[in-house]
Amino acid sequence: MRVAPKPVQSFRDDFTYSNSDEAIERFPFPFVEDEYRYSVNIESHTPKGGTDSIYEHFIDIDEHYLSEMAERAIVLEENPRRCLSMGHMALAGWDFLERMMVSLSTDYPQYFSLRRDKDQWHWENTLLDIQQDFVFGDESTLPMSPLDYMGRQVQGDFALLDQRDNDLFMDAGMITCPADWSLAFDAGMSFSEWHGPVPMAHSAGIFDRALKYLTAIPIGSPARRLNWTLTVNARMDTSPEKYPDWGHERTTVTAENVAQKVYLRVELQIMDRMPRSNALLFVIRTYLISLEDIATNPEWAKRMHRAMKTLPQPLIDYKGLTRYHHLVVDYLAQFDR
Amino acid sequence: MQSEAPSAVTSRPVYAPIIIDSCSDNDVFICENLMSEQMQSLYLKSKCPAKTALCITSDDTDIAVDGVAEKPIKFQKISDFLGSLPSLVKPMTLRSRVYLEGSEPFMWRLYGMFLAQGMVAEQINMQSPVSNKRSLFCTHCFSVTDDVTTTVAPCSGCGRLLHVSDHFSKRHAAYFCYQVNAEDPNDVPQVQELT
Amino acid sequence: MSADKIQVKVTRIVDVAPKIKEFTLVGVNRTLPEFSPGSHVMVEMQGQEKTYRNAYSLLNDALDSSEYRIAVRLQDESRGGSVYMHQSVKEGDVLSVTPPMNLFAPLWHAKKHLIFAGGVGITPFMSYIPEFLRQGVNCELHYMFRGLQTGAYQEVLQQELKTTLFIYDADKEQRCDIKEVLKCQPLGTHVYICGPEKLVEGVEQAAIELGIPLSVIHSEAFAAPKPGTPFKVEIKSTGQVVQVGEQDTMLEALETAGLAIPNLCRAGVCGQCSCAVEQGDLDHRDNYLSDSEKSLGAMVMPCVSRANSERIILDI
Ligand code: HEM
Ligand code: FES
Repeated sequence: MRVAPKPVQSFRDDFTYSNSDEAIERFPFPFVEDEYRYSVNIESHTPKGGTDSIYEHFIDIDEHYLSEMAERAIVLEENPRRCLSMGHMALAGWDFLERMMVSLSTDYPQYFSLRRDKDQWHWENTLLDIQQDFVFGDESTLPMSPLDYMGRQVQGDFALLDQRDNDLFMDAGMITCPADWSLAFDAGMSFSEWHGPVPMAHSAGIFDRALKYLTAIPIGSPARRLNWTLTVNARMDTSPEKYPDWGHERTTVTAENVAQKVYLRVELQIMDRMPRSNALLFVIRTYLISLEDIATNPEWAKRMHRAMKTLPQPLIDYKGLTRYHHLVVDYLAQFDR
Repeated sequence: MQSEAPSAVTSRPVYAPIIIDSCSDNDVFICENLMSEQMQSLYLKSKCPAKTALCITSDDTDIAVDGVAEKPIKFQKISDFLGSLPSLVKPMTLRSRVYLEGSEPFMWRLYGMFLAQGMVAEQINMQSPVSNKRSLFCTHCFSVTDDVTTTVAPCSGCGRLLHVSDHFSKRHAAYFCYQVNAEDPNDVPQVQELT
Repeated sequence: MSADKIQVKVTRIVDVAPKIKEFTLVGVNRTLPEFSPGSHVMVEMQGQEKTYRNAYSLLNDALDSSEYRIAVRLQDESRGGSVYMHQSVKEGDVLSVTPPMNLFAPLWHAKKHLIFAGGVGITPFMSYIPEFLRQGVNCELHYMFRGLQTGAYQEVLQQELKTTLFIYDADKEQRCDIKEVLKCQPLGTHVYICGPEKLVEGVEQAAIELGIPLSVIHSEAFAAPKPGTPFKVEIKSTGQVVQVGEQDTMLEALETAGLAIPNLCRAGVCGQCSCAVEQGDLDHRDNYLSDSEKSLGAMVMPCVSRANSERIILDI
């Protein structure tokens, strides 16, 4: 049985976030080889892994739902510009709302329900105790823009990319738990521009190929890939915006606390074509797991040790691991003997 | 010595040598401060039926240029120029071209203005920036600090000491910057001249 | 991975020009997906000897996706699909289509839309225009055809566009001076072309001569893929030899021979169908491989590309 959303835990201050045994078991472990290198690791986003797998549904709602929604509310309250949408992206916002409402109510009828009578829609989210009557396409009937409204009710960050000239543009999104990039800064950029800081991948042709794939994604055939980094403490909001608040945590890792303090942060990224606007939806569904919890699976710990040990220096620096990478390798070494 | 290698960050603009497009029906040359000799020679090369030279300078000096028949039109500030932009672009077509000279943030700010008027990137030509001045986008308070020539520079909005990266936003005409000593307050690298 | 097919029923067939029939399609026991202006679907037709797959633009206003309308011109050099649509498909028949795909969306931030349509190339624009009118954006259409064969939808277009519709019937010796049209277009104009390759090339050439940046010129090469000469594909691992006829694509031939090649776009842009080439002179027609990869000849996209030699060997 999929674990029902737990009471709210925190991703800041006292960091009460924890994973149940079930959550550990279903964690999307990203290392498929002993050496990690960038690749065009895209596959079709179809169910795999059976019931309760994180790949069972279009969007995975798990035990951290309430905690993540509470965290997101704090971030947006503090800085509303973490959600933005340019004028020409209004229709894409409705596409997004529809995609989410339809898939959540189909996949999790016990939590969400949607009734539609032409343009008259009724939405219920029992987890957050929300009920809303509104007219589809009429923003004045919702408390806020459709992207903002629905983004606050779904786990994951969201970018809506406008597609033109065979390229994608970062023209709308709600990004409250990024791995160190800023939507406000990247707004309006093209695919290759917003990937500007990524080392090694451009010259390997990875982005050119990925872009050609993405621009050809048709309606109803979503794709997915995994990305990963490490985070100190179970902090969701590792944004540049808040870096002055969390940067110092990178100096607090020691040989004694590394297993509890360092988290593997995995992003399940989903790319889906929006039918009315032709925009591409990019979902970043983030999972956090401590090294200690990874070590409960010896195969994972061993594999991760190898991947960390052979990680190229440019990637170590780019991902911000320079100060404590060696501590992670040393800790994991005991599982690879 | 700093190496001349282009930045590894692909969002950093690269500037190709300008070639005057002989098919254009309307050429506009805009310079920050005085027109360089190079720009004057481009201006003279243009055989376009309609051409305009503009200087945007807060300086009081005379901007007359030898060899350029008509004296360039002068504006004190970019904001003054903005007011006359609609009448400037009104006769322009898909064939027209704009040539820009000045610091990098100056050129990209104008670029944004012309884009808003419907121009496309290929119609806007930029010289290599005349200085190493950059505008900084502070990702913590979102303010933009102008005229910076060093990395590790204070933010004009929140006062934090910023590291200046090579990740560039055309829309903000500025570089991605973050607090340099957020991880360790005592670890402030030496100030370096930007290239 | 290939998108799920949708079963549709043909509810109405009407002649909209001497050689163009319009088909109205509704979902069988399901609603049809929403779509955006400029979208097309791939229609799959189960012919006697082979399966035809042709791409057709959706004609209707994207606000109403309760049905899809497509228009099919009877092609002289047909790969067979249009003949099948014209002669074999009857009202009440069931066909299957892919979900809509859009490789030709208008640029929503344009200040003016300038359209050149040739013959049945009018079809993708039928879904543009209602949306342009709603948004109040300036739109100008230059519509070229041979009145004895094509020229559909003139009345609707006349009502929609009024003074910004320009019609040229080659059978009445009317010609469009493309260069003259392009000469004075205001900033912010985007240009769209759909029609025979000659028209696309003509507009592009005029743009180049006038110094108009090609990034404002958008085209959907509407003509069916050029057929090529027949050739044979040998599969290295099994020794199996597959014949590719002049009307088939290499991908279709491989599929018919029972080989499952992953594919997505079937149009040479997604890269999914990529096959390693052991040997052979290739006619690359895709937009996926880079020029250097093409000249290297180690990979081929069988959904659009062909062989220049009589036989090639694929390492699959
Ligand atoms: C449209 C969908 C996508 C969006 C919106 C997106 C966005 C981003 C952003 C904002 C970053 C951070 C860049 C920075 O440091 O500022 C990033 C990193 C990256 N992206 Fe994407 N991306 C997308 C699709 C892809 C795809 C399909 C690939 C496939 C290979 C890819 C590969 C990468 C890689 C390798 C990194 C570096 C991540 C790391 O090492 O931690 N991205 N992406
Ligand atoms: S199927 Fe997309 S390139 Fe062949």
